[in-house]
Amino acid sequence: MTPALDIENLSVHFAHQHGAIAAVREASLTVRPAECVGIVGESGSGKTQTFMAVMGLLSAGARAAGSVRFEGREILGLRASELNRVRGSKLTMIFQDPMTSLTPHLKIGIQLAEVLVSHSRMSWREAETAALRALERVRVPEARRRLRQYPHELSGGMRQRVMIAMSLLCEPKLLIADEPTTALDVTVQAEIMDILRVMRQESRMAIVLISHDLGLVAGLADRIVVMYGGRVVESAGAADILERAVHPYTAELLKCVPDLRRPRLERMPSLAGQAPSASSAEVGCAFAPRCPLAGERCLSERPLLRHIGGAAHQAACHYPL
Amino acid sequence: MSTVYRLRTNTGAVFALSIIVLLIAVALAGPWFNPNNIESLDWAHVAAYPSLTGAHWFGTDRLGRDLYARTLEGMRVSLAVACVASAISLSVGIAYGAVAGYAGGRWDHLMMRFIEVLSGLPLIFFVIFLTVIFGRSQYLLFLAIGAIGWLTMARIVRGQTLSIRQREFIEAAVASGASTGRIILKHVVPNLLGPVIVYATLTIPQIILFESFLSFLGLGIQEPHASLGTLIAEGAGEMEAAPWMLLVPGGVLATLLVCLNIVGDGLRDAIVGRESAAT
Amino acid sequence: MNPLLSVKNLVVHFGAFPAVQDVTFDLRQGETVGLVGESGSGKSTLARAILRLIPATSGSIFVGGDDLLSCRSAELRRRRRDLQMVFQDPLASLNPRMSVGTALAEPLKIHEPSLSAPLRAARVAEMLERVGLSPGMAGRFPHEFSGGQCQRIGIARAMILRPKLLVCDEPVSSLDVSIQGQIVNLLADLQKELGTAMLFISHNLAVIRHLSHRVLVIYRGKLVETADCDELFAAPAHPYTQALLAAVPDPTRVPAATPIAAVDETPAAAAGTGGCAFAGHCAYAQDQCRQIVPPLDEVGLRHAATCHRWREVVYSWRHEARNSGSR
Repeated sequence: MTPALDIENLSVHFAHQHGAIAAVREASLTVRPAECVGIVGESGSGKTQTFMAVMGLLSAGARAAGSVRFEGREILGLRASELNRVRGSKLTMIFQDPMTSLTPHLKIGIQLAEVLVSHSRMSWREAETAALRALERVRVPEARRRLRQYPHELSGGMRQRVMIAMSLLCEPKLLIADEPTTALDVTVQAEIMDILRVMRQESRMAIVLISHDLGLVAGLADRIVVMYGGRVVESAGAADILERAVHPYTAELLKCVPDLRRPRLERMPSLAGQAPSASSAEVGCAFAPRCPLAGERCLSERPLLRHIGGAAHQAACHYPL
Repeated sequence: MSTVYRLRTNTGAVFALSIIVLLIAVALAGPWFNPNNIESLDWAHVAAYPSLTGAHWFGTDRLGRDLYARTLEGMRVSLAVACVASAISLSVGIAYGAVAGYAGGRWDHLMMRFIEVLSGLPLIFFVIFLTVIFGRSQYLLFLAIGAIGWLTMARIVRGQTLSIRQREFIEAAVASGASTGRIILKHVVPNLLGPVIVYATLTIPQIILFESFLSFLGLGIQEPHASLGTLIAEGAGEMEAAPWMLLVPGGVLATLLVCLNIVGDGLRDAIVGRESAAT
Repeated sequence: MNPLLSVKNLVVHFGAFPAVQDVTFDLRQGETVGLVGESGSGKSTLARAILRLIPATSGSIFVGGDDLLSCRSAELRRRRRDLQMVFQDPLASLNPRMSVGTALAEPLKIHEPSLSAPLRAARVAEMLERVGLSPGMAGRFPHEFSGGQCQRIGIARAMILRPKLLVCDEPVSSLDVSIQGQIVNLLADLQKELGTAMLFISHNLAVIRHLSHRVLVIYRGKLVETADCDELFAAPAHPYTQALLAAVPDPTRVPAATPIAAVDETPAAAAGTGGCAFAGHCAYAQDQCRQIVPPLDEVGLRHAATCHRWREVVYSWRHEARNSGSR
């Protein structure tokens, strides 16, 4: 079966005062149809830039190399006009701040309908009905009234729902959600995650969920890919990551996931030190300076991604747990 | 990325900046390499053609005065007017605008209405009025232009201050117990500098033009001193007989203005780019 | 012992909109009170009103016996040395054109002007080291630091005067989960060392539970529940508190259907004043909830909630906890 998304050896470099800096370094990952893949990493791990490259949304001055295939077709380096045939309809993305992705001076209904009119040649009247249905699907109360409202009249949670509705209008094969709930309250976050869960079951689309919160991702993802310093360091089924993480970084991240049912600890768990900056030269394992298990070899030789534990479990570590 | 780095990658701006530096250097150092001064009359060469091999590189005017020396003098005077006037408008404009913007409310309202009244006054009459009362002098010219330039500067500074006031580090300064004066001086003004410098660069050409215009009308620099404006005014009278008298100062003025505008634009792009990269 | 901070019937209005309504609580020396609520609940407004960064409409704020609201501006500025704040956005709360060393020295210059420059530099260096940064970083500018480092700088600036009260407004919510613990532990250590009282605002219950001795839950500007920390997490007596607890993502299980129905979340929509503000979202709501505003009821020892039906609410939570525990 053709994967929904196949990223191979993707690198993203930014031009900078002191030479190029690498945001993503030879990352490879696959998303199968109807699968939910969680991408976990700290800020600066390259998780967002990887998918900005997929969407052709890298900022000026960034160069992407490698290969990105969407449903078998190479889309990296396509011109915007060609990319737009899939982008926004079959391949969609939602962001942390929905306000920035909605046009402030157009009513919600028009913005939603426009997507359909431009992508599937629907009439405005039909498109408006479809927009109403889409809002109802993501449980927007009083959907008919919302169509006539402007983005600033909605709360953050409502706006994110509108963004999800918009991204689902053309029945995408793949939805990329970049920190969709980071700016939202916990109760609203729970609601949005539930909507994503239901949407996925209903429409059989694949989801890429990007977050720094492993606990959040684990609730939805089938598979989890952990990124660090621009590289994929571990990739496995969600249950395997939670129970048998082999990379020390993943294990440390897991310790940071809060669990209210456990007794209160003396110290709140956290990772010591700083995430590596994209400009630092790479010698050995990027995690070695923060790693409790690092040995001599980790400082000199970069570990390659290899199968550890099972066929679907990969990690880049010299001394896996 | 630093502003300087961004500016350096802008080839046009770097080129324009080097021309400006060159012009200023020539204006300042030029007299030492030229035997003629601005006043001496060379009756042997009245309205002589420019010639690099002769005694007068840029030719002479109707009275036989060396045009090279006079053009350099004109540049010095024009640039001096520009610097002094923008220094006045910068200092008054920043102080006034920052106080109005930070105080906000009724003070802001009052101070801004005052500016509107001032900028409603017709400028030329204002200068003529001053000239009539105090007589013609270079210093008056500096003051008059500066006194008008600060109005727009104050408006720009006030707008910037209003947005800076909303930022969290200002609240942090209030919370730590800083006085209003301290906040304006240490937290507001340093963060204004980007847009203000850009605006100042873009107003220098305007000031030079305005000075030229006043001098052209006979309200500015007096003979035998020259500014680019008076030279152009003289040259315009002799356009048919001695076109170089117009072309030389006119060319210098045009080059200076174009280059200043290019640098100003480049600086703005560099600063705006930095702000957007930071967010 | 007299409380360090005593807030009584504090009300803050933005125009006609009541952002904070009738909030009363105490804070003792060395104690941490956690303030939980969602965006728009008025928790940041409350914090800013306590520090007089925004004007309060009515009520009183006693700090060490005097009412802060009646201080004149010079007096207020002097008292600010005891009342410091850490902000949500670590980068935005630092002046981009001020080096870190200068930023840390500023509170000293304001409140201890007699301090000589070398002594001041020494205090700055000591404080930088205390928050886990190297003193050599004093010459650098905020944008050269990561989010976590910027927050350390923000904490250093707030703590350099050894204030009696530190107000933290969502200090970790813009940081990665993996870094949050560093900042929380740093705050806990500093508090223990200096005996500072702390008002800690967050929507993150894990962080609140870690730091707080007591917790206040605020909903649409009103205090809905207050209890000692362990008690609140063990037996929440307000349905809203329960909804917050149930919404915390748990990697080990798929959450049950969401605890709060999708209703308009904008606070402005909560115009209805009759009855309990939460009634529209509440699974326990009955007629009386929509008609009568519930009073703050004593639920247990040092535990109060504004809910007509708190007995049923507590019971059902205990019941569910027992069931899920035995599974």
